[in-house]
Amino acid sequence: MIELFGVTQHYGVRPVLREITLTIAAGGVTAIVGPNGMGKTTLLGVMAGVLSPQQGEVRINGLRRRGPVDEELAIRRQVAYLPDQPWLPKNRTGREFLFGVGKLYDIDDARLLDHAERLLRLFQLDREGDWPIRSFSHGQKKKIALSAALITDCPLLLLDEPFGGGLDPAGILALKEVLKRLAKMPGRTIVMTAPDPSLIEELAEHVLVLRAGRIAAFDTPDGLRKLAGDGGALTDVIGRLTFPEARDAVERYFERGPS
Amino acid sequence: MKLARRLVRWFRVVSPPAWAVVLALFVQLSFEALYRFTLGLNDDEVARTLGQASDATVVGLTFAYALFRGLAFHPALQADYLAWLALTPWRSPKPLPLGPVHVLAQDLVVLCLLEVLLLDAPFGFRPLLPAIFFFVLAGCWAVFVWSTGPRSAAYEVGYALGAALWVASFSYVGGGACLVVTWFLALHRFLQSFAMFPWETFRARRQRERERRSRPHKGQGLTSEHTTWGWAFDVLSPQQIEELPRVDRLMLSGLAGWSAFAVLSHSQPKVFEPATLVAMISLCAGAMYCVRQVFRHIWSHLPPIGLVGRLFTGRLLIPSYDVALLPVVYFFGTAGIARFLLDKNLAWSPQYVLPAALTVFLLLMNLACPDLERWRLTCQARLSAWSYAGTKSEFEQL
Repeated sequence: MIELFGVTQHYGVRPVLREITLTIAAGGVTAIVGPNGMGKTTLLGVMAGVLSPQQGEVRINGLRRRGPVDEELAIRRQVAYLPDQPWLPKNRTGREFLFGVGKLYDIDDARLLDHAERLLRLFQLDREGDWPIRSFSHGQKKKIALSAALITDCPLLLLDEPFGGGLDPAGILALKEVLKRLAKMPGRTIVMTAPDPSLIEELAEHVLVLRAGRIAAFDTPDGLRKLAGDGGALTDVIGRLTFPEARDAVERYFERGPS
Repeated sequence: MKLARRLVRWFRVVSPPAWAVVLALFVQLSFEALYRFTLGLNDDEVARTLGQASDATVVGLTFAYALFRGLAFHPALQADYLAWLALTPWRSPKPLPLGPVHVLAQDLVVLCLLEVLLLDAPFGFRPLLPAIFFFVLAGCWAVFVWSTGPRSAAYEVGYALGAALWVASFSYVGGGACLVVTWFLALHRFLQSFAMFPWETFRARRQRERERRSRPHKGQGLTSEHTTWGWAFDVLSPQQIEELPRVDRLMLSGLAGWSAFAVLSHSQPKVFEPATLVAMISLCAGAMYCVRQVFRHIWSHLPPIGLVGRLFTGRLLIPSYDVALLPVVYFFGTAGIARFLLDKNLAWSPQYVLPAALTVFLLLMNLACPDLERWRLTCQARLSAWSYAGTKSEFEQL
């Protein structure tokens, strides 16, 4: 379970998150959506401990983030965070990197070997797995980074735009299915950001909509449809919630003709 | 085939990039082939020179490999890796995912292979390779301990390495014994520094300072320093200048002199002239250090009147401003005195004069120069336009 209490984060004097208080229950997929620059990545970074908020606090399964050393280490053993542009060891092979990450999380050797093999096959990297990461394409780098997050077996996955970064359709499909199935396992929680709501429509059980650094809505997809007073596609619903003036803006644009 | 693949995988853990290995082998084997070829031509002089070049290449390769092993896998040298590692539950002595930082069996195999390349070298020459490897490794570890662990431990190792080098100038066995003891001391201190992870590196301190300048409220963090948060508009205040503590400046000055003395104790004029080498390196490094120190002061604070103005007004010296130019005086002063003492008439030994001059110069630079913050606040100067209105000014950055 992730709890945020009055979290405020600003870069310099520019506020990005304002007084965010929310609870994400254990289990399932929660997607953070919203327009660009509204604080999605910042919110995930605060949950991941990359940023320590200027105000408020974050608790993961009751332990305070960036609090006492023991609590922080206990949290890190339960949380895997995948940033949008993750660090990768360019001169190591994909397989070596997966083994290295698995060791960090005390995964048993036999399990690690087997899991790495399955992950490489899942993302069609079984041949490239023995190549240095520097020779990977953009999308393959994304796949190996996703594999590294998955190999940790952490109960809580924080994924920043997992479907971005040049992932091919087969990769997107594989990742969707994996996340769907992982979310059904007891005690596994996935929180992710997504700029495009269509990707998370069939995946997310809860959707958190951010607007100007505040929570515009936090509900199930059906709940959001009711809130927006519309039964349309999730993309339209979220569009109306984050930018209610969207239709007026379009009308204004065409007022003097579409020149 | 399987065995070969296993061997490659086993070596890959410590091996430098493939292109570097190929290049190194190409250079060394070229020298060796030329040497073998000239042996057949009965030209002893050329053959001897090529033989020495071949051996020197192997020594150079050992040095380069030790440097690679010392630097390539340490998280403190790679900011992204360090940041990523700090987010994982990694704690010493778990293995580091990028590669091992300690000595492995593979390193010993590499050393043996390098020994094999020294085909015709005299037997007494052979212990030089492991000595170089472990010396360089201990040196790298000392640098990392300095930046991540207790600095006093790094000085212990640094001075002990100098002692090992000095002892080796009159007893190879004694020097070797000193090196073994120093290496284990370095290893112990190195492991201690890993136990202190996450470290307070310079980058981490700068990050915290940035955070401190943008914090509106007090909070609690991993270390007690996190409780000294300021408020949002602290970001508008001038940045604090981070200076090394005086004790560190003192120790580093002494270490530079001590190292120079240890190198100079191996004077073998027929092979190479260390005095000239040390003098040249000291002069170049000293000049650069001098320019940096002067520039740090005067780039933003220009003299109140120019040179012509000084001549016309008779104010040749403006003491509160001109103290910033003291490094230039120190540089030419110490270099001049050293040159005078090394003159043929006095004939002082360069082994003592050069290290002493280096130490005195560094001590003067570090302990007898104006404090930058104090000088900026009190000197008679004109603020240069680019210091407050240029693209690099803090106001622009905001």
